[in-house]
Amino acid sequence: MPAYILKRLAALIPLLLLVSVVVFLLLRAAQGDPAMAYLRLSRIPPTDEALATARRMLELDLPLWQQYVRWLARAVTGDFGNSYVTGRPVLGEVLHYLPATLQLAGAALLLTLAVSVPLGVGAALHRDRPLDNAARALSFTSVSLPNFWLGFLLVWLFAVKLGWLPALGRGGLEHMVLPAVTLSLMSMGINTRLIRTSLLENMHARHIMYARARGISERGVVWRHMFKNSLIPVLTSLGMHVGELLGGAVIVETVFAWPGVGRYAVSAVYNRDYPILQCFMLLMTAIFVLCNLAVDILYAWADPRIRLGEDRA
Amino acid sequence: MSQDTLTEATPAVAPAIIPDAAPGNTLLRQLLSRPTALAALALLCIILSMAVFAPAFSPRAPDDVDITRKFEAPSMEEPLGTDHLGRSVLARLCHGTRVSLFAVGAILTCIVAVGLTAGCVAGYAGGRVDSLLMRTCDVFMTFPTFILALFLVGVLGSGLTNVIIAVVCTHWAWYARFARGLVLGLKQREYVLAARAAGTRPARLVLRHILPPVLAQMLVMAGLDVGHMLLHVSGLSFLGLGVRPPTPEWGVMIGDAREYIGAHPEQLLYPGLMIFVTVMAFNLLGDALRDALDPAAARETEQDAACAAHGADGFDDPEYPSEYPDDADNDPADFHGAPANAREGAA
Repeated sequence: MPAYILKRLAALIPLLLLVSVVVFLLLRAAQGDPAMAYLRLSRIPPTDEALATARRMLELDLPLWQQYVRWLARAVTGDFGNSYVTGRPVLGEVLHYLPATLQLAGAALLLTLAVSVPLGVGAALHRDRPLDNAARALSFTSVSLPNFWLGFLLVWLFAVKLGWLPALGRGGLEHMVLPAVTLSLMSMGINTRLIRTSLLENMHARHIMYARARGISERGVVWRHMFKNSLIPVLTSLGMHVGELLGGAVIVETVFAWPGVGRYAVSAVYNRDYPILQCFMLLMTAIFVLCNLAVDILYAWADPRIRLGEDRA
Repeated sequence: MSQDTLTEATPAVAPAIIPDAAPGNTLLRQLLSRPTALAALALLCIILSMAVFAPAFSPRAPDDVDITRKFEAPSMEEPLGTDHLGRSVLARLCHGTRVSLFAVGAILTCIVAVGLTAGCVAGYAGGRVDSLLMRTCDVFMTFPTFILALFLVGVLGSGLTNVIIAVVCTHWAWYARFARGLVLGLKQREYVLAARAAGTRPARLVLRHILPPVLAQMLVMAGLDVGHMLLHVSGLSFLGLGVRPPTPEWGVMIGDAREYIGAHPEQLLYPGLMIFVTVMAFNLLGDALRDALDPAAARETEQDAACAAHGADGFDDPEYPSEYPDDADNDPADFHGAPANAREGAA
């Protein structure tokens, strides 16, 4: 198992390097002349002299690959440059806003699991009954609902009309309810459907028949044999949900004025604060990749066919 | 030439091919026999006519500002009232349909074109070209899609064209990988091998024998993704990164209306409802289309659809063998043995 984890970690390094190249090049290709952008945002008049100084300072006189290597070397030590707007180090700014986002995404993930697991299992066990229909309606609606609209509907109902929950900002647990529900609904719907399908496929597998034949109680059959095996595809989808939740957080944070890194990144887009955007992009991708790695490791632990297959190869 | 000789040699097969000769016809009949598909089609017809005949439905021009008439209640003249600048809500909804449908259409056309080209080249050429293209796909699939789209719009600048470019960049890799998998499968099929043996040139082989079936599959995939793309576009517009302000768009309308949520919640209701209904109609139709084309797989692929609609994994790719060997079910001891092995491995 440790060998498997190490191997997966090692495989990540080239991928993350390529990711950094793409992020670096995209930014360079798209933003035009970074020196001009820097001067405009620092409100320095773009004289030839100022441009030349800015070029030297931003190391734009070096060949592109050297610029990349230097940028990467600094990025690895946590130096992503300074924000064009505040002038403070980018990493500090982004990390300041990150906990709020992780809190929101984590709450949404927990909520997703807390609803979709029982609902999915219930729907599979009571196929074509009211519970199953309700689950199907949820999974169908949730993939079609724009989350920003859903957020406003919830704000209108629970904050404006009923006054039960606060509409905006971050604070106690009651502040988290609406954003977390808004963020998790789509994953909830997809996951419910996935668990239901997976259980139904497993229901007629031979090892289930065998377990029944051995006289194991129905509860034991369902939870120990059907549910555990059905978890495997669900586990894979968890990695995907993390990506959706991180992306969705950008919108949900904007709707609920949640002081997270997604909302901060949107303001960076308005301000054309490229270093912030770059750091945000790399950080989110790293979180996403690491979550997927964690999922893969759990997956290998749960399903030895994968791990043993990899070891033999 | 090779085609002709093959069909002449096997006249007995001809009757079986007849349904295929008119695939559009049977497909349509299949679709129309499903109530949900019928409802979705009807809804889409309404939405499409809203887009096409937008000026006819609109009481006034969508960007006709009249600040003295702001937040007018619905009336005969203005069926849905007016917004915070006194513009006609109905006119903005109808013209917004045009913007949204155009954006999604452009996105999916580009994605299918890019994905198809990259997938066919990778699958057919193989070797270095293949691995280069697939590694590029890997990199693009590493980013969370919406975050990459946000980043791209950030560096390209806002505007509908840049939103379209951003969404194409974030989604083409899944299509390319899917197309490549299909091409690899088709390459081994008898009719392709026969054409090859008959000396068909590679370009013609790909264009005539490989491209059409791959394209058909990719259009189904695109159909399943319409709703997802629409949500991407309206989400970016809501953030203020899509169309420029006077242009009506549903996401922009929601963004504009959010300040008036207390006094005028109906301003939020209409555009959101339009997005919701449109996305749902496309999702319903996409599901029905897939089921009609492949009724046998409809049950099994239920879970893939959830993933595909989401722009995630779940495609069959020869290089990534299924984690579920078919014989898994046949071995009752399989599961019981598993945890013990896992623990040994972990120790």
